[in-house]
Amino acid sequence: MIRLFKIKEKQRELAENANGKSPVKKQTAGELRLHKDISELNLPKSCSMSFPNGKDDLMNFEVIIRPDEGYYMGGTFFFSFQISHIYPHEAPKVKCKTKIYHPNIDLEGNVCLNILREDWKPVLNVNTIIYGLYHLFTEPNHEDPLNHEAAAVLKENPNMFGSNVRRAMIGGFVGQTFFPRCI
Amino acid sequence: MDRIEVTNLNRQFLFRLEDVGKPKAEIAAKRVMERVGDVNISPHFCRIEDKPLDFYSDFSIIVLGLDSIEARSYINAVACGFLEYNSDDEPVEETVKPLVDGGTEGFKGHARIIIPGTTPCFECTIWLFPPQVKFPLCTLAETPRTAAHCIEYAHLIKWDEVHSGKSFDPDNPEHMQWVYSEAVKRAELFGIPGVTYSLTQGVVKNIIPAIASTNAIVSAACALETLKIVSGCSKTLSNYLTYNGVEGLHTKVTEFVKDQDCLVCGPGVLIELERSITLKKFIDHLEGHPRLLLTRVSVTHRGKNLYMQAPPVLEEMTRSNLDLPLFELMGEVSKDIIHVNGMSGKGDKTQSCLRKLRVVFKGIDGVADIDMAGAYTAASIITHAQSKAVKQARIRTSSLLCYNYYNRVPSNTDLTPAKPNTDTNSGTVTQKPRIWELQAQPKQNPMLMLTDYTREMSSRSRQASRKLPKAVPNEESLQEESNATNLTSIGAIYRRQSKKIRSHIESSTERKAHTTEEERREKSEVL
Repeated sequence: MIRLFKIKEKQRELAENANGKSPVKKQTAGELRLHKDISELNLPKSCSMSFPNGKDDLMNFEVIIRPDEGYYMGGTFFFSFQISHIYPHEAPKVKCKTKIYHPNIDLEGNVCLNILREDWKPVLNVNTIIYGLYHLFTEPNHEDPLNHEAAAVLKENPNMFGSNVRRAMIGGFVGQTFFPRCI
Repeated sequence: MDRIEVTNLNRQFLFRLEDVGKPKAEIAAKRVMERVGDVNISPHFCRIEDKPLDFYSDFSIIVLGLDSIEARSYINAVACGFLEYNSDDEPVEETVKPLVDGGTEGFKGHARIIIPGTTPCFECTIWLFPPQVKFPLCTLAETPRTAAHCIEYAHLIKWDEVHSGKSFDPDNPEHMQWVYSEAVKRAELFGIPGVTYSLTQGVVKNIIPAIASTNAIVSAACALETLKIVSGCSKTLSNYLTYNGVEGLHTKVTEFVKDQDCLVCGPGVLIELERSITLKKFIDHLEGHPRLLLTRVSVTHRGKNLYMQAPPVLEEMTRSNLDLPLFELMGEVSKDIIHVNGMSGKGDKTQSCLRKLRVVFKGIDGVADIDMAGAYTAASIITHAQSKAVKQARIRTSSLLCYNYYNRVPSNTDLTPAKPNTDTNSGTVTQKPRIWELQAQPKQNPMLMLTDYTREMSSRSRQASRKLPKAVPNEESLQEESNATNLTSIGAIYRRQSKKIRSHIESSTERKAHTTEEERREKSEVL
């Protein structure tokens, strides 16, 4: 049984020397599944994507969300996506690159979204994550927050929360923190 | 790419105290070569991804002792990448590279055989893994309840706040110490006990303490399977052994079924094309192809996205490829694998599917390769196994070894692909012939079965399907299996089986001698 491989190898070598090409890097199953998810993306009008490493690197990209309703209407927010090689076994890593005043997004950019961590299932995909992120803007959630002050304000005084959000988006201070303009 | 640590010394018996800090591969190789004569081991201290594909294609068998899903996935893709299929969608034997994989976690472990094209590969059964434990970020930030929450808070949230920009390195003891001290502070704040340095390491690096006995059992099973594959002395494990020593001792062997649509090891659909066909025409062709019928197709080849239907930015970037010849876009090779994704079905019932295609361009030398399966028949494999070298090693040869590498998917495959065939009580043809089932057919001489089989094999054409003798379910074998769970060692099972084979072969050779004796007497009487 073992000898059989050697003979095939010799033939393969001959074939390759004729072409002058060597075996190319394999594509992992994760990349293929990612290719499938991305080629079927159905994004709402308010979301768009960019691929900073070109069309062949689907593992690192950016999603730009411009909510057209709710407290965050008019703002532009960037999210970076990093997909691992064992996708969909592991959830993509999503961070918010825009500094934002939001009960579920902290000042470092960590996003508290259940499907990104404890509720991730391999049947979910990039599309569902983007919808989940969009949902954060239309319905911010003051329970289980990452930004306690924002959550408290939202819970007690929604009007003040709205004005805080607008001040942060225009560029200004909310409490001790300065938010750069993103509108 | 591991170095020896002090905590390894309780179970990794090739290493000594003075070896701490040195690469495991080099010391292990040195110690084994000192003890075993005539063996040559070459250590390589690097990541598995750093070796080129030619390195792996040199080997006959690959045995894995890896510690993550990613690593196993990578090697599986490499090994299955060597696999080729002929035009009947059957694996070409010379391209099959068997893998033996083992793993342990505390009291539990597994050992499995992967024969690309026959048994399920690693990706076929990746659904076996349970989802990883991830805590919600808000729990970590607001309401920690366990020591693990405090540790993860320090690791994921506090680290970025204090060291923003610097990435956390789990192998750096200073980083680990920082996380530990922050976790302790957090635990004190919430009154949660139990944060220790070793728990911190465990949570951050996902480590579970290792036990010598589990490792010994699983590695012994792997070594035995490798020996069987190399020498052909016995039927290999088929195909996944699980071991659980949490309460008592339980092992089970499950025969998982290959996923026909597996993207990594499956045959895919064979498509022959002209060299001149453009990408656009190829996509249109797929819409009408009887086995595919895909619309809104996106195409990817070896990591390069040739055309993407969505999102709009990628569609624009790849639109220009539509008018180029596919042969050119694929790097001008005579045959290769590409993947296409599209919608299949009609009207309301459309669903997305990702398919693997074997594209062959007509009119180029080397296309005849597809069918070169037939040169090596069962006879030559058996002769090799019964050769002098094997006999000298005192390994018992079994007449059933021809069953090892052929496609053994039963004819009535109403099994759903990639689901475990755990129904050991089924009385149908889906039972695989086992060694001890020779007992169920006592009249049949194993030597005769051997010659019948080889005659059958050499007379049939390559195209014909290979038929196996019908397997009869055996009460004894079922009893044997349930007995196995009560035994305290796998070795006892092997010893009993080998005793049965030995006694059966002895009795049948006696019978053969007896019948030829009778025949001679009869002939002389007639005359």
